[in-house]
Amino acid sequence: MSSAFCLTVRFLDPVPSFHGKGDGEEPEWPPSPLRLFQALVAAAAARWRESQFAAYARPAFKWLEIRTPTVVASSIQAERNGYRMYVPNNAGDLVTSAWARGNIDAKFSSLNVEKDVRPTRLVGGDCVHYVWQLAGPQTTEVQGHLATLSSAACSITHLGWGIDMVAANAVVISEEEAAKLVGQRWRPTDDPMAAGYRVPIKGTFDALVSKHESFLNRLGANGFKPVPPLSAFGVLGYHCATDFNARHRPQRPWCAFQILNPETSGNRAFDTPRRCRDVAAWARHATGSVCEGWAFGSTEGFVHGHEENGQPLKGELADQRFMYLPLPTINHALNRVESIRRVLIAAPLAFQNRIDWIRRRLPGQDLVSINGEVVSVLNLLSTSDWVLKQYTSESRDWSTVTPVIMPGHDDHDSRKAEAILRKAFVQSGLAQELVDGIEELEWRAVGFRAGLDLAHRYLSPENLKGRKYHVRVRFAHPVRGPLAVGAGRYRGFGLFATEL
Amino acid sequence: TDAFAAIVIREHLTPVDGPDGVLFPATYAAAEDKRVFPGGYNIDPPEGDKNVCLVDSVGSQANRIEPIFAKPDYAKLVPQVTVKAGEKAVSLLEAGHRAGDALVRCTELQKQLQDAFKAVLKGDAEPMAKIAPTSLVFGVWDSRDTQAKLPRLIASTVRAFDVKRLRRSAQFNPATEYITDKLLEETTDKATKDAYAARGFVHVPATGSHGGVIATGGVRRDATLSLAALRLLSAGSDEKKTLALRQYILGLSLVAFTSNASTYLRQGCNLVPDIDKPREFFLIHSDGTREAVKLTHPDALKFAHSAAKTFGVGPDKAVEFNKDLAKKDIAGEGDTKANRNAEAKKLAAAAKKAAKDLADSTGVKPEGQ
Repeated sequence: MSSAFCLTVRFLDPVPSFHGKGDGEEPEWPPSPLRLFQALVAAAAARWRESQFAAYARPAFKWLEIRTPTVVASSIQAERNGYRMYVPNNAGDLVTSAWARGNIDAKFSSLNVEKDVRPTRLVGGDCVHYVWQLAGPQTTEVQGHLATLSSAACSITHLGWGIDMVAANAVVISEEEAAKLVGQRWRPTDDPMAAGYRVPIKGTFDALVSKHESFLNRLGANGFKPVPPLSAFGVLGYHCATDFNARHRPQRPWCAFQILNPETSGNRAFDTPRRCRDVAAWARHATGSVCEGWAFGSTEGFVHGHEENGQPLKGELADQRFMYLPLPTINHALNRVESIRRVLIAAPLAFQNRIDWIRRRLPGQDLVSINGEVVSVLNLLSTSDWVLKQYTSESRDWSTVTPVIMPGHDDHDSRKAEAILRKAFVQSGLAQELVDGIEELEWRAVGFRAGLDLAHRYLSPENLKGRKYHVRVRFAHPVRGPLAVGAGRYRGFGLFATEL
Repeated sequence: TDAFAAIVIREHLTPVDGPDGVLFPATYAAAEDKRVFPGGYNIDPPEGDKNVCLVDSVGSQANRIEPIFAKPDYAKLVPQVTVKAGEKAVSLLEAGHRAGDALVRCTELQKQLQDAFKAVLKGDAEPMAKIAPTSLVFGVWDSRDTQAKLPRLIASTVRAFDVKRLRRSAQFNPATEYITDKLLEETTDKATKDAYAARGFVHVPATGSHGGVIATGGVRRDATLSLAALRLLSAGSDEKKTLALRQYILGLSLVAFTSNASTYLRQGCNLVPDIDKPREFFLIHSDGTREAVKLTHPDALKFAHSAAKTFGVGPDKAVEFNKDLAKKDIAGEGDTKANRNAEAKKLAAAAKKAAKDLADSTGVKPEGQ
């Protein structure tokens, strides 16, 4: 049974706030894993001196520094309001010199300097939990490391500025307990646009020890040796799906194309209920053609969505594939869904390079029907296209333009159906906490937009026999498209558009 | 034991003229970016009825509490260190940077304090406790020399909740009508008019200025004493001395923590304990559980005296400000941070020149070019 090592930092002020700053002197939240690591090392060094520190602490920190935690943190107030203080600049000798010269009017306050303070106020809680997954049962050695780190955690007294007093402790918890931790979940992400947080890496602990030694010995017989700042750390993107204040939300990499007639004299339109599955299949074949011999290995899985032997993808690789999403036109003036004139191809977060590959090669490619007829030509679509933005923007409210194919049997039970739908949202890549926070969820055979046909009239792709529903959802936090859910999400079904 | 992390106090206060009385919080200058903070009271968020207003900050509270150790009831708990400069005398308890203050660098205590800071860096806080124990309680940073930093054990803040902001206007009326009574010439010259106003010869209105706040959600002092930080103090590897040191500092901390520091914070801000809401003390466990405890100031004082006796309070010292040391410090002589920075620059420049000279003589480019 898997478990987790959870280190909890609790701010002691009943109006908890954090003053630490990240890169660029901007207020930081949550406190970065490197900041916690440094606090833990300092606590251990204060707790165990010299040989004890080397014996107890070093092996444990060497074990910890290469592991990346998930961070579960309290929400924060959206605005960071600050104030300016004037603080002493430790120049009292200038004042007393003046006094000694007989100038008794000299004042300490005349030498104060400005200090701007912008605290990050925590709301709804006072904790930050750092959670490291533990795979399987722990060896005796690892148990020893965890015991050492737990002891060190109890000696953490501050995190951030000197006024950010905290109490900390660490325990091993089950996966269930980890899932119940209260707060926003910040997870490492491959999204290159996500906010970067400093993390320890292999060698960080030794670098910190070395830096401290250098600091203590910076004055010697040969004069003063300056101590350079710490450089042994990494920067990792972290994302919180439920962070309302996020300046950036992750988005699958994608590229989009117009569907032109074979003469390229204008658009070619395809009836959505009858041809959605076909357009997706044609796009897949065209993609297969341009990806032959590409730099990323076999195309069977990523492009065609099956193993070499034709079996469906399973396990961790099951979602590492392109999504082929024909985009029905949304008529802005009449506010209704119409025919397909565009297609979008999306990839999982870490695969921008594959999208870049096909973006360069698909323009001008033919879409060829099963009987060999060239039915249309692809042309790169401008990102400013209004219809495209209905699928790729950010919104809390979404509804389907093609029905969701349920990835399970609901037996006409609404509770089962809801559970299957929620699971489908998670399977599409949305964070569990985001799905748990869904405020409204409706599903029915009739569409939620003008122009949609009854769900069962949409021709399903081969081998996908699940019940179909049109769905409307309101999330508690904005979600960025493209959003496709359900068993047919790789083939154009379960495609949502924003209800802006 | 690691089981206990901190003791916290919640002390409900009220303005002397009643819970709906007007109190004047601290005012702050505008930040460089006025969009971040336009100046005035620190009310967060600035708009709306639900807010938190800073009445007295952590630093300000520390500056009010620390000097109690100069009062007769507490003076025997800590060494009384005074620096005399000319006709004035300053207690170390009032020095802004405590044991790291430049004030004491220019006295005969310079070496003793430097050694104490160096000992702290090596894990022995006893020398510091013998000369400046309140620096261990309220935190200290030796910013001009060793850079040693010790976190504060006590943080105390006074806040008002859900405040309504008031404005007030005033008018200065001169003693007589100088211009109407032809005592002064009437003028249209702006500079002269401004001078008349500055010197009190004409009526001067002051409209829409800060008028205090009414705290509809009450006023509260929250204070924390970090037991985890106390446990990090040690007297090297001597366990007996370490225990004595920790008990001594704990005693001082409890006295400071439970004292009734000055309730007159500034004009218009005179707060007294709310007798309907007695003080609450909680012992915070490391796992976050909170346990109500009882703690009184007399108990704390009794414990502090006992612990001080066991530890052995350092001797009182009255020292003279040394002009020669100050001149050296100001002129940049001696072992100062500025000198070390300058030395570092010299070394870096010398290294760069040496590398260039080597490159010129061998024709091999130095690394990095």
